[in-house]
Amino acid sequence: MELGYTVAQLAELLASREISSVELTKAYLDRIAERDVELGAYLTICSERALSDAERADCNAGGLSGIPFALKDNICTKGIRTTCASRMLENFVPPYESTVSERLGKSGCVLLGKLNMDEFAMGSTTENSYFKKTRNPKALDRVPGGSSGGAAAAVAADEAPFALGSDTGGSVRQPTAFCGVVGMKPTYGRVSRYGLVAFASSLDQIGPITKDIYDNALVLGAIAGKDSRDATSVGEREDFTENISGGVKGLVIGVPDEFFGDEVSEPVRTAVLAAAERFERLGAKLERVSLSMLKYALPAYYIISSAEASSNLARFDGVRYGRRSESFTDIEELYEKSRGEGFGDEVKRRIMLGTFVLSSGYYDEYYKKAMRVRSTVKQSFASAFERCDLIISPVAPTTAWRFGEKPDPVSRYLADIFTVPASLAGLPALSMPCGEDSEGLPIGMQLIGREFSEALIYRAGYAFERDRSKEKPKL
Amino acid sequence: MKTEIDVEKLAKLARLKLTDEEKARLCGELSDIVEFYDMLAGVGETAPDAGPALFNVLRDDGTKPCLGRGELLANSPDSADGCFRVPRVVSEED
Repeated sequence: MELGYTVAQLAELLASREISSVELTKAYLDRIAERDVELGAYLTICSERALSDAERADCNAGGLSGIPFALKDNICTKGIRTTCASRMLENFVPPYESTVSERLGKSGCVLLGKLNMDEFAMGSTTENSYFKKTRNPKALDRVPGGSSGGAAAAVAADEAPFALGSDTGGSVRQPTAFCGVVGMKPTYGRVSRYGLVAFASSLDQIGPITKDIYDNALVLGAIAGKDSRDATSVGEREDFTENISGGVKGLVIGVPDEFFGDEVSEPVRTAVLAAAERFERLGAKLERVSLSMLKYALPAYYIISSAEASSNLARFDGVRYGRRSESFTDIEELYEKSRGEGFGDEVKRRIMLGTFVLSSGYYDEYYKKAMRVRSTVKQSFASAFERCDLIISPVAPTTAWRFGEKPDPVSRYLADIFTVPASLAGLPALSMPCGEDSEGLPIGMQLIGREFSEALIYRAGYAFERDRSKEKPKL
Repeated sequence: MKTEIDVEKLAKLARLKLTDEEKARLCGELSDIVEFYDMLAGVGETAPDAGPALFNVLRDDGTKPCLGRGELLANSPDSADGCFRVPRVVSEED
């Protein structure tokens, strides 16, 4: 069968029995076999299990039942290898299931496999994977973004109808922008983190990656809601598609000057400002707002996330799970060598940075100060949201760059400048396509909303997407 | 002024065995990154103090089924007699 359908279209085809889940699953597995050698989105493919899940799903049609999907490889799946794209966890098979995959499984979704990523979700190109490179399906010589690069690439290349990624400082939003698909970083607490391998626990959030806005709302509805196994999760289950076609008339959309500064490339600035004008034509009001804390948000983010990472990754010591060095003389050396051999460069860098900012003599100067910035960022958004309902910005300053183009860590960190503020403030933020540059590379815009305003964000995104699709030439 | 980074000390604290080449590289990279962190020097002490509103979320204090010993040991690089096996941690004299 032809691929390229959205989740909503597939659900209809399945419900009307025009196709079966087994046929659909086979079609995706064939597509992966044909395309993924070049693309490198998958780390593990679960063909047998997927087909038997699909057979079962064919007996209970309805809802998302029978829809195939894939998961970033830091989301634990019972009995299926979960590596975090790290040598450390090369052979780790979780004895338990994450809440998100359990919920999707109960809805009848069919897991196709696990997706490549930057090691332990640290990076913005997926080049930090221990296993392989993932290519951007829109331009094979370019990075897919990261850290959920495999997830964004898989959805963009029709190797999965949807995927789940995780976003700590932009890891769902930036790769979806680079690959031209839709990604949501939900409000902190909206989605249970149980079974997500922890990177920075106060920032990590799982989010859906889909071809369009409606699908994204559909999938978020299936995974969101309180879970007793994650004490930070809150809220009831919600149908985010309910008022999705409500339009943007009367909404006030904030345009923050600071997000359109010199670091933004011309094509990105033009496309995102044109998107703002489109919202105006659709009946929204534009309002200039100020988020002056932007320049401090980035260093604060890297201090806080590295501090939390150094603490979270202390558990990988070569004793209970993960890689153990083959030669050691005592327990100290077992820890040090197992960790030294198991972690890649970027992970070591972050652990060292986190250890530094938490070490005696530097804690007040760096970590405490970063936490103050975090509060300022929250307040800054709160005052902006007194004057507007949503904030529009670019997702990243540029479109996808070529492999190896940003060799030094600081230049890569700077590319996260527009995604980290919403992470620090715990706010929901959507990344969706709004244009292309002269080389045809996708440009993403970001819509940030108040806490728990995902439904409103989707409503705006849906209005935009429908209007844009009217003029977009069919390829 | 660049902050001096004591890579040896940090590696020890972080329980990371690094090669000489890694130490040399990290020395330069970490001081570049810390220089970038130093942008925060511009943040005044008047900035609000940190911290979200914290409250405890407790589960009921009861027993529940949990993973069995075999499942927990399955991912261990080395186990014996139902336990994780590690090198001796006390010396013979202890």
